[in-house]
Amino acid sequence: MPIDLEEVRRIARLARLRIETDEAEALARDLERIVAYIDSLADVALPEDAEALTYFDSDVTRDDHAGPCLDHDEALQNAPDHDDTFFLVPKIVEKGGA
Amino acid sequence: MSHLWQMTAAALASAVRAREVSALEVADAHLERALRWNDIGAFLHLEPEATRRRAREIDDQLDRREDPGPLAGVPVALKDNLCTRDMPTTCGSRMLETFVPPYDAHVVERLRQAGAVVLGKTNLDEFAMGSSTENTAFRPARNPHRPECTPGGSSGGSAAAVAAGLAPLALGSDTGGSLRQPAAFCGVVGLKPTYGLVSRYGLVAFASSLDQIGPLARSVDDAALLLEAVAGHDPRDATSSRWAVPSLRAAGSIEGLRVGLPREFLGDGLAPEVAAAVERAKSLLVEHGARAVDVSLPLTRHAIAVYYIVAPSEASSNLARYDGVRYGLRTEDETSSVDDMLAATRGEGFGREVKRRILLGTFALSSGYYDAYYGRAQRVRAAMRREMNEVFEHVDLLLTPTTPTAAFRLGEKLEDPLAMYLSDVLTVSANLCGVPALSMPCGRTADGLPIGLQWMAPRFGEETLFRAARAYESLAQAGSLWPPERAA
Repeated sequence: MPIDLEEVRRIARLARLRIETDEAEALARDLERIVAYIDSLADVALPEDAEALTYFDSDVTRDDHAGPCLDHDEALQNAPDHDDTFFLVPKIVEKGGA
Repeated sequence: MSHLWQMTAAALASAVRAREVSALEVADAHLERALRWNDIGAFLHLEPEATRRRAREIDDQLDRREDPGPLAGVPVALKDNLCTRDMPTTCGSRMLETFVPPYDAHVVERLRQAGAVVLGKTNLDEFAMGSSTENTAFRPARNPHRPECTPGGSSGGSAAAVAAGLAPLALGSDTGGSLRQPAAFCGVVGLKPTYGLVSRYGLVAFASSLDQIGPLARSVDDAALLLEAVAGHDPRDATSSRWAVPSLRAAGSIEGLRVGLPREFLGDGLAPEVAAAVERAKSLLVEHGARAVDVSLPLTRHAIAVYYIVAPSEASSNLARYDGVRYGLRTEDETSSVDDMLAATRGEGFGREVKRRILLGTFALSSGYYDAYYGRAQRVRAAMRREMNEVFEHVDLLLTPTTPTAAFRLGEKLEDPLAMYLSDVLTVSANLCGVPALSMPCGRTADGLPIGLQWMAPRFGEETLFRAARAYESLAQAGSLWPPERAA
């Protein structure tokens, strides 16, 4: 599976990762080699119905009880921008916009 | 009398409890030592006043005739991806440079209950992604045995701190070998416990189905002491096991112990000195009653490929939380939308290796590729686990080298990510299969660098694992390997 610059840009968009052009070129070279290596898994003989490993133990469930959780101020203390109540983000709707 | 920094954790705790030495003196001895060895970059954060305050609390408890616990006054260093209330937790990343968690990780709570004194936060590869403690927004760590070499990674700071006597104990995390490889490179004991044995609550997530917190120490007994203090059920981690942890410090014989030698771990690619050291260890064990059994784990040759699909996939999902909104960095650039702010923040906040893995994981999970990569990797992983379980029907433990070579030089593999990934070849299987694995010293190379011996056990086989490791330690007199001492 070849990984070119365009593919790196596609994945970076999906991952919400801004990447500068020179960085993208280096990453494309690295990913191309890594993907060529992991492509070797295609050759492993597995039965058609081989199951995938998802959990080591069977699912563990518990009763859904309300319990103590983070205090409001503590939850906000590390936010880059907040007021007394909310996390603040850049404005996303222009005035008069739909 | 030996220096306080040379003593084991068990000896320090009993001396503090017997009032032969104060917790404050113990803390000061290690703080002084940490400053003297500052240039190896073991710590990212020390807070001497908080450490001394905590040590005085332990002494006050003893004044009141209260028992502070099994780790009374023992300094412990914490990898900087373990959340500590009121102390920074940076993960070695620009993204979390100013992050101070509002809560303690489960293991940190348990350490306090056991009477331990947190010394500070140790260096690591960014978000624990790396094998050399060089992938960092801050400064690389160095091997105390040879400063031009890496201490390994990603728990390189914790291993270097224990090896140089800056702390008798440290906690790290292991996703693909991040405790065992640095333990091997620095000449100390490091354990990745059975998946689920130690709660991951408060461990900054990298790859959740592989991550496990574990101890680093200068003796097998000290590693057991620390594991006993932090292991056990925690309802805040849905994968936390309810297994009752037995005492791991009981002596026992290795007479009749069936030790499996998987040929895929002992073949080409091993440095001759490493292969010879493991061979000597095997002979010594056999001489004292263990039975060596040749075994085979053919799927091992796919372990790195499986790991470098599963781990980055889970990382790309876990690291989606760094959004510049709730905590961590936010870009100062003018941005036109929330999406734009997010992408710019993540572009600035993450280093090269983290970006590489996010992209690799996003690729493996993306539409059209999921079945061929992530789906297939999880199926091979299930087959690996089956293969490992079958081998453990015939042997009690597996014995392998921890790493194919001793510590490499700083910068040697930094520009070649695939070569760096391949250095994890002997450690990733334990994570993929969820089994416990311990690395301990088994001699040095001609250059004086430590060599690591790895034991693997079936899930929840810690008791046998520690029994065998302790027996080998005593037979080979393979205690911790101290680095060359420095002038005061």
